Amino acid sequence: MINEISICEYMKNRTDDSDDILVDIREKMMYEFGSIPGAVNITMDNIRHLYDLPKDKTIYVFCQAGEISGEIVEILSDAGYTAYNLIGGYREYLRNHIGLKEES
Amino acid sequence: MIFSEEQLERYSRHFVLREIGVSGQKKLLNAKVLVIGAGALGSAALMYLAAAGVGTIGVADSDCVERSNLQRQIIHRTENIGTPKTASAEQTLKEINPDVSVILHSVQVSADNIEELILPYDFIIDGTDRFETKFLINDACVLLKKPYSHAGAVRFGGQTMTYVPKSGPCLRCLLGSVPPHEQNVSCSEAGVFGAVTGVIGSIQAAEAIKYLLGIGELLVGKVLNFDALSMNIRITKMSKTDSHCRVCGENSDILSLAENREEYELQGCRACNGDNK
Repeated sequence: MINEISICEYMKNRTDDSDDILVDIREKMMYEFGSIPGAVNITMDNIRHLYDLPKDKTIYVFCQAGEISGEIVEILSDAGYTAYNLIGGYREYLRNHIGLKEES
Repeated sequence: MIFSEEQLERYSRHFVLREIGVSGQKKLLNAKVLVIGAGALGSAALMYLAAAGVGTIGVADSDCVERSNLQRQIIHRTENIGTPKTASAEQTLKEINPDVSVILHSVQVSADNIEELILPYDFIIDGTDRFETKFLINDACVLLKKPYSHAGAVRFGGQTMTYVPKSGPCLRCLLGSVPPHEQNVSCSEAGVFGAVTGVIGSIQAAEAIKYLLGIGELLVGKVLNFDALSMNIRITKMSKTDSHCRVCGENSDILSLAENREEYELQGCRACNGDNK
């Protein structure tokens, strides 16, 4: 069982000074076209770089729909990271956060 | 388990398949598959099993590599002529994937050794070329409740079916008993098209992997026939398990391999002394 959190809860809880890491695992082109602000891009072709992530930070992972990111969270969790899958992925982020004011 | 960086790269194409994923890859790495016969069918099956990351692969073969094998037994190379097929296969498999443990069984399977041979494995692949041996493998797998893939190829055609205990028919349900010797052809007499053996052997690996992962539909109760000349591919449904089957039926009379050993003995003649499939 992997850790999961909804996009909304993640966006609500994150602060400007949090040092959690947000990882977008989609293709570079998709990342550059639009991603969640603050995300770093690790593509499947660069999957070995997952292990460059610092172990002392909490890692949040997303993809387009939330499925492949779950696999990545399993890999990270096995390797000793504290990692969370963002349920619904970038699609869910777009549905809930584009054009809307920050939820209070 | 923790994947190494190399393994992350190696299996990345599996991770993104919904039917496999990280958990599926872990299952494969923990699985054990035995391939009996490192010939043409076995070559393709073995190589794809190793590529997929099946953690333990057993290779059973008592022969040495011959030049005439190389036209289709692609796991062996020219430099391996004269060396045992098991060692030659191991070399290729380790080069494809160093994660795999390769267990060599440099023996001719018989009624006396096959049960102990297949016992530790999760799935068996029949890559042999003689019906006597195919029935031995079938009966052993039925008696020991091991799932296995049956296959054969000659000339331009090949066929395969999958046996899963309690789920479908076995080879005897299909064929009854070893066909009369006159009806059997060896590859050295009839010839065999290399690529056909690759197609069928690859299907055998696919069936093994699907079984291990619990995904897709297996060729249980079905026989796949492929003809490379016409490109006819046909899947024929078999009727349910034959209740009269001598080994898996309700009143089966084959209760031990030793008692039935005569049927498994290779009938000697020049055709049978020809090379493997």
